[in-house]
Amino acid sequence: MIAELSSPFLLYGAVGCLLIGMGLYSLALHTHVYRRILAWNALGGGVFLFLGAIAKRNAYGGSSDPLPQALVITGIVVSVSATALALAIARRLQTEERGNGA
Amino acid sequence: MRDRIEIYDVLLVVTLIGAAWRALFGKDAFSATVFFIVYGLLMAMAWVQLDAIDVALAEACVGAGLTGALLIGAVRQFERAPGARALRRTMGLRASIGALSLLALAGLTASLFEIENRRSPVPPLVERSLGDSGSAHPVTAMLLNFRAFDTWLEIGVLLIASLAAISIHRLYDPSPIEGRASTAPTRPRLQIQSQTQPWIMARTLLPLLILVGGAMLWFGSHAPGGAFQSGALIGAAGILLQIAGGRSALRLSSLRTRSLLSLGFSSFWLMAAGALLAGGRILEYPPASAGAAILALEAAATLSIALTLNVMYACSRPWGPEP
Repeated sequence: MIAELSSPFLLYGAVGCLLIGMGLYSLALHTHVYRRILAWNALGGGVFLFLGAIAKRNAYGGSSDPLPQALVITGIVVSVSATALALAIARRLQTEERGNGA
Repeated sequence: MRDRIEIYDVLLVVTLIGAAWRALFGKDAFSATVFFIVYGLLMAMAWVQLDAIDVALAEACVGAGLTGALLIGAVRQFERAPGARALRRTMGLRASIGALSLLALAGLTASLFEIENRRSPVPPLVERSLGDSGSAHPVTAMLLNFRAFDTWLEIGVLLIASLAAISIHRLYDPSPIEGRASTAPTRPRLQIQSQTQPWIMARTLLPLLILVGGAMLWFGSHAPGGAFQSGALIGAAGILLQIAGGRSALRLSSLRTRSLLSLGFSSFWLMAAGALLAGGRILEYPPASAGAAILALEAAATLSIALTLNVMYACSRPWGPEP
């Protein structure tokens, strides 16, 4: 059991969980939309790391499981496009708020 | 391949968590952004430790590099906004948010022990079918053959996101309306400010980025690499050019831009329709020509991804004249 506890799966999986928890806390704590976009991205990183730990766990013949790896690569690219869209919308939101304030 | 953690792993994750902490809870929006980029790069190093080189490359290029460029471009507009430093004040609210986050953390960590001893049947299956897939690299075979449908839809997500970003950008672009209808460019298409640092950087790095991007596309068939990493590198070359040019060099809504944006998606569409018409199932390539099909799809996807990232960067820059 001690050997199990020192596996990379548990270490990186637990770090992934911790990042998800920290991301959730930050997401709800901040009121500004930019900080929420950052928090959302950091949270996504935690989810990816969790999947990566599972890929490592399922390693077969010297290489990690390709299915979670493919999912994560897809996820990284989708998350950058979602971030870009979120930033565009946030910027428009700010322009609207300024326009109303003036 | 290692099955035990080493001191390096512990140091890496401690630094990773520290960078995440500063990115999430730092007071200043700009330094939070910088720590977020550090977090992304450390994450890429963690992927190397998990034997996932493809993901490490994607995370370094896309997750840290391009997201970083987008965020650094955007943070200036937000950091002075009222409320940029605001947190929820009420102690009770903070405590309950903290408690709920801890609950999620505990549940997820418990699930780790739950799944610890379950093995996936997928990797042996992949190894057996790799010969027919047209790619010697399992991750490329997964992305472009076994689960090509996922990749197709993902490129669709990219297309939709870039078109939405263009629409939002155009709605608020203060350049005169009549200029949009005419074919004459309303602004200089590319104003290279020569001898500035970005210009020198772009001049030096541009050929290198395109060369490495092309190599990465080619190597993707038998080694880590592929369309996403290659698209990100070539996209980075374009973004450097945009930075050096001072202004967007892209005509966002021209037919050429739009057709190149949808090239990846439509190539998958054609390949799927071709497979159906030939009597096969959707996106099922004959093993003899699978390698060529994968390379063609990857090349098309690379161009679309590179342009998508450029469009997104152009849409995230401030309107009006550059300071």
